[in-house]
Amino acid sequence: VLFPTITFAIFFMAVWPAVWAVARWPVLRQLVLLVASCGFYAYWDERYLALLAGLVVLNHASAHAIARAAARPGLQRAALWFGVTGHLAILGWFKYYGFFAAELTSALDRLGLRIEPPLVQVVLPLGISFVTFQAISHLIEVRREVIAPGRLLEVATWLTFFPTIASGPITRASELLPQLRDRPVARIEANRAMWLIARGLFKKMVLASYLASAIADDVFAGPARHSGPEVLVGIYGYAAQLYLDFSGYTDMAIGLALLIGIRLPENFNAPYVAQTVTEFWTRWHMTLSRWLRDFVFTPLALRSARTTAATCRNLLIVMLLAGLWHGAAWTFVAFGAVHGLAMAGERALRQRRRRLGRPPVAGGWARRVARQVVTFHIICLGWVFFRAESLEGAVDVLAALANGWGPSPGVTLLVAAVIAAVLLVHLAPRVARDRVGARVATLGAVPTIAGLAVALLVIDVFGPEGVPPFLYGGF
Amino acid sequence: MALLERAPASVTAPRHARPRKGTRGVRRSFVIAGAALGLAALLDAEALHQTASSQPFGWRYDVATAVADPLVDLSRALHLTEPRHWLEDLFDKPSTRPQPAPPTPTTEPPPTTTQGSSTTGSTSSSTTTSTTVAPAHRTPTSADPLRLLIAGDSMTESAGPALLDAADATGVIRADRELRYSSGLTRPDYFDWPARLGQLVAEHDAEAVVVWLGANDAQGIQTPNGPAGFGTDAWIAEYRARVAAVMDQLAQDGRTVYWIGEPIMRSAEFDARMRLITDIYREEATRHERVRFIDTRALFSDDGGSYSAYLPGSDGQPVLVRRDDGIHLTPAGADRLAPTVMDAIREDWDLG
Repeated sequence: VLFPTITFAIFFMAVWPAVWAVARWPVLRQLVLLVASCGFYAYWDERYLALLAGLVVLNHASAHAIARAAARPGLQRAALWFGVTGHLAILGWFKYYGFFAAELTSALDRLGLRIEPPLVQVVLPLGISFVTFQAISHLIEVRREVIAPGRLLEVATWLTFFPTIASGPITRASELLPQLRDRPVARIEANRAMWLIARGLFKKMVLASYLASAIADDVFAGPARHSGPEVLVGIYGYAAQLYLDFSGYTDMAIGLALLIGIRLPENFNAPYVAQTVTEFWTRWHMTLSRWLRDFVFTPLALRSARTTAATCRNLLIVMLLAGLWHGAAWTFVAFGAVHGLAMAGERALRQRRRRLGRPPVAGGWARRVARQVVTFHIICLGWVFFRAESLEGAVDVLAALANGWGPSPGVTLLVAAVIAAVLLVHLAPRVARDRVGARVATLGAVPTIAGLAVALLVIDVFGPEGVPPFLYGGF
Repeated sequence: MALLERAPASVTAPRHARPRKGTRGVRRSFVIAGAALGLAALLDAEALHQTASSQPFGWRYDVATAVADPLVDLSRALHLTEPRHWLEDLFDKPSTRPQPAPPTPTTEPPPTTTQGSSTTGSTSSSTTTSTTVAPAHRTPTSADPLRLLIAGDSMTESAGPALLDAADATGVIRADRELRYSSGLTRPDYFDWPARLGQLVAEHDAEAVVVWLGANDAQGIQTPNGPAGFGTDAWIAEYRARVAAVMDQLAQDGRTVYWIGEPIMRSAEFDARMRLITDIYREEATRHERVRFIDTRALFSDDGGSYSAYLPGSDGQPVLVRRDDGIHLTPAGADRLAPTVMDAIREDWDLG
């Protein structure tokens, strides 16, 4: 079920009171949530419920084996590897088999070796990448003694939790399991939650859909047909669209979970104001970047020599993995490489400044703005590979930037205004945004009802017919 | 091991504690959310009614319209439909005001016998089946290009760009595309393709039209005698009449129509439905001068005539041509289709 549908609204308005009706009995509450989540997932494809069940059992068994083997490090390490490998193997089969089989066939064919592995098209289970990363975090947190292994029902409820299963945020066992075990506080931030849901709907249905149909889709579908400035605005438009789409989904997920009494981690913090690509990843899809930092980069760094070269190599490895996490295609590898190389370059530059006795970054507002502009364009370069259907397609888009001036029917005042508005909201100080949030949170019942109803009407009038899929729903 | 011990369960808010700012009790929150959704439903009742009417015939349609009918009546009685009308007028959005009922499509079923051996058999190895005894077509030039319109449902989402690129590459075609998700010919109450096509060909002064519809049409249809289930004789007669009417409408004024048939589908059940629909297109095309049917079934089947997500690309290596829904084409699949469509166009027009 997609969030912005009437079907989902009916589903949620049934689940919400049911969850609170049994809130004083945590096990019952988990059971209700689990049944609701299974229903949510089955609406997409009921065949994969068995896969989800398998994932949960594997995770639960591995976590308990890790905890039981605490006194025997070798055995514990083996249990951890078994669990992690098992989860990655499942992800690999569903997400990467087709890609690697086709690439391997082509590569060997070029060497004169003809093999014909079965090329089966595996349907990617909804949210498999998000669930896998959450499940692995459970195993590592148990190994690090951050948390005790969850009970089977707790783990099942957490991993299948319907607000997050399709597109995150990627939560951790230490964040969600205690909230599922405990009786929730019977007062909720209802206004904030409903405001987040309405804001997410507006971002996704009105703004992101508009940018996609007004310019981004056309530019990426046939860059040669557009003038250079139009292609550039199309790339900016896609950058804004992707942010609106993904952060809109996250807003809705956080809001829905709040109404159920579950607090989810933030996933975005004005990413396009970042002054470096490294900073960008502390503001964009924050739950993925902290996962990569804590569970890949840090262990790699601890095992590597403490040299700039080793750090740069590790950054590149992590970002290539981040790229591949998004999808099995060379375009995602290139996307990761753009970010990895930029971050490695930033690290090397910072080390150089340190050696010369200079502060890590130069001061002054002009330099700050220049860094923001440069960073934004590096990120846009990454988005070109992220959005394109193939490497050739990405190169075509970049080459079309040199198409020169010409008619640019896609660059309308409204398109420019929407893109500018997205960037301006990014520049608004956190304090101002918090003040608006606090004002909304304390609105009375009548203005809240009227405001939400009008907001939903506006979203429906200005939104597209039908619900376009969430861009991150495909990962 | 202290870290491994479970944290003590927290408790609900202390009974006499001061409520935290910005929070509400759950019951009150639920009432507010319900009231907001109810008011939104009244304000948006006409759009909800349209959504309800577009449900496939069956229990979903019955339930949705049973809820939406009184809702829209109440909303109109309270004048709560006006804010939406006001927004639609102000921003030039499609109106949800009740429209006069469109004329019922012709219901006189044309003869259903298949004409000509070239049109039978869904697994024909030929990718195009020409039935046209076409009058002479002009020679398009870069100064006076062929005005081509590509219209269809979500199947044209990926195929459209490939066709536009292929048309552009000729240097003598000016192509435009119109895509409408979830649309077809069974549900004009949801989207009225005949009316829209009429507007589009006039707007673009189209000389040739590529049509790709059908993937959403495997559902019940409204006939003058009431709803008819998919595949029944009444359904076939009504659908055939609608297809024939669209072909007549498009092919008038000397326009040439290229009607794309559905490719083989992964689901055997869905594939059988698509074959039935495609057979109707093929048969109707034989009856219409200037309508050319493009068979995509063989193009997207493997050597054994079965569905395959991977087929050889231009370099002979297997490429993924179908999306994981087993229905739509990937960009590589669209690249496989585009030359076939362009070949059909070339047969009629001298593209140089």
